Amino acid sequence: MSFDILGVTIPTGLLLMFALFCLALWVFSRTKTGIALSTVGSNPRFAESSGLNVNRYRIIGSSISHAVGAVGIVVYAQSFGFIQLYMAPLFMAFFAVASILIGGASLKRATVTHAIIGTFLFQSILVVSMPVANVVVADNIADVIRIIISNGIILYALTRKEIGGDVS
Amino acid sequence: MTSDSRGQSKKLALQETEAKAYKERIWKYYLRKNVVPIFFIVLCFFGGYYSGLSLPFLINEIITRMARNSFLVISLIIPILAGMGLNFGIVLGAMAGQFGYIATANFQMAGFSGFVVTTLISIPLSILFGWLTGKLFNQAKGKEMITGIILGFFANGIYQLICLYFMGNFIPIRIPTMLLSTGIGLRNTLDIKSMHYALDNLWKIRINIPGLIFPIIIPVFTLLAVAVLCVAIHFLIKTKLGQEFRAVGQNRHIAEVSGIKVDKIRVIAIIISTVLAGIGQVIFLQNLGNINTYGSHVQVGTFAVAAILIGGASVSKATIGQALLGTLLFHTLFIVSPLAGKNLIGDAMIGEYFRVFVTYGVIGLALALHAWQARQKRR
Repeated sequence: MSFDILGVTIPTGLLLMFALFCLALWVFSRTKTGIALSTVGSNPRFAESSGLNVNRYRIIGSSISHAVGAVGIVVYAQSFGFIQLYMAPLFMAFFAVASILIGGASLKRATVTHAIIGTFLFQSILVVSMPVANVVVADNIADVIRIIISNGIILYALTRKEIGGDVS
Repeated sequence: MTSDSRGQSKKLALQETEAKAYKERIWKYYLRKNVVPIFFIVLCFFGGYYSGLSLPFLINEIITRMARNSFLVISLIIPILAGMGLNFGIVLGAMAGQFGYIATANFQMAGFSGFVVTTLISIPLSILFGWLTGKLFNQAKGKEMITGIILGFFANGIYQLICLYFMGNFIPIRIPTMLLSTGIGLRNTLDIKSMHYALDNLWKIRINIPGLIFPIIIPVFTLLAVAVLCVAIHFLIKTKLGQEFRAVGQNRHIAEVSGIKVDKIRVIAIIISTVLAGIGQVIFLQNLGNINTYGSHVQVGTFAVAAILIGGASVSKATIGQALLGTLLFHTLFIVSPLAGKNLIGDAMIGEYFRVFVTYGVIGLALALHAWQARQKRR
């Protein structure tokens, strides 16, 4: 399902799928489990004292994250038409983390909007930086730039002080 | 027998059983404490037996690998003492060493003097890198290890940028064979044959064992350098600076209150570690004889960390002995595992996969154990 407007191909199915997942996440964060999850995240001790099983909710959270990640790389691979077996799963994580951090998320707080803005900005930087870099120095430099930007952003997020003082 | 003496003998028997139980407990305690090295010693013997290698060949390989890797592993000790965990940032030190080699190869230096100049170039570079790393780690207290890993990736990006796009472009390179055919960017492998074995060949002892073709070769000066480093670290820990490292490592806040400049001490610890790693990489590469420009430094951090953990060190405690033992075991496994895999299962890669799995497994396990112990302590 894709159509052309002004010479731009718009992949409807891909966008619909994306919208569906955004909606699902939004709905999920309003359910009982979702609210419990965010409680556990913002204050584990309070969550424990109000009768939530902290470890269980942490496991639920990371399971959901893994599942969505699996769907994500399936979608990613189908739009490329091939799969990279060995290194792609490793590097996918870095770019995803960098994207959401550029979108304004921190280690403690992230929303769907952050993810959307971040992905847009991160990919735009890559697209725009390529011609500029090609003028300055020789040929294809995008990959190196991508590594530097993504890891630099992650470093920046790690060095930011969190509310509640330093972790010891 | 009177009731009194009976009571006495009972008491004695009780004491005896108590002593026995105590001994058993001590024994169990040591066993539990050293479970990782013991497991790997068993694994090494097992692998060594099934690899079918002759003992002199194995010893030769082990000596070579000990000589070239111990320096890198020992460089991890000081940050561990200073409470900064396993310093994955030694990748930056390795890069400094490689920049040193690029410079000396560019000026066509050779032999031992070339090696010395390389070391001298690498030191100020690694001091700079170490200073920056330390500043960064001070911003991310308590998250030094993950920050170090990400920093390694980040620095690798910048390294690639410099080597692949700046060399020959902004940075003039005299020797055209070092560059790619386009004239920009270094080749994948950098040949430093002129400095191959520069340190090792100063004095090599050959021990001929009757009935065997290969003599056992001992590179005296390389091993001597490692020994000097061990002694130096041993004495450094005893000095005021060393005690400050340990005070900071035990409790940052109490150290701060008692008048130690914690941030400064932490930066010094990282600088020392990075400089040692730089020299370590220089020694490592003079033994190899060529540089994999974009690959030699990448795994330095993980390999050194895995080695020291296999030796029985933890995230908060490490000794020189553990570092040396770990290097020995890790690299024995390195030599032995492909052959053992081939002989046991029929495929060399199986042993290789097993080794990789064990390496990362050990790192993961050590980190999990550390987190668990920290939580136990807090309760």
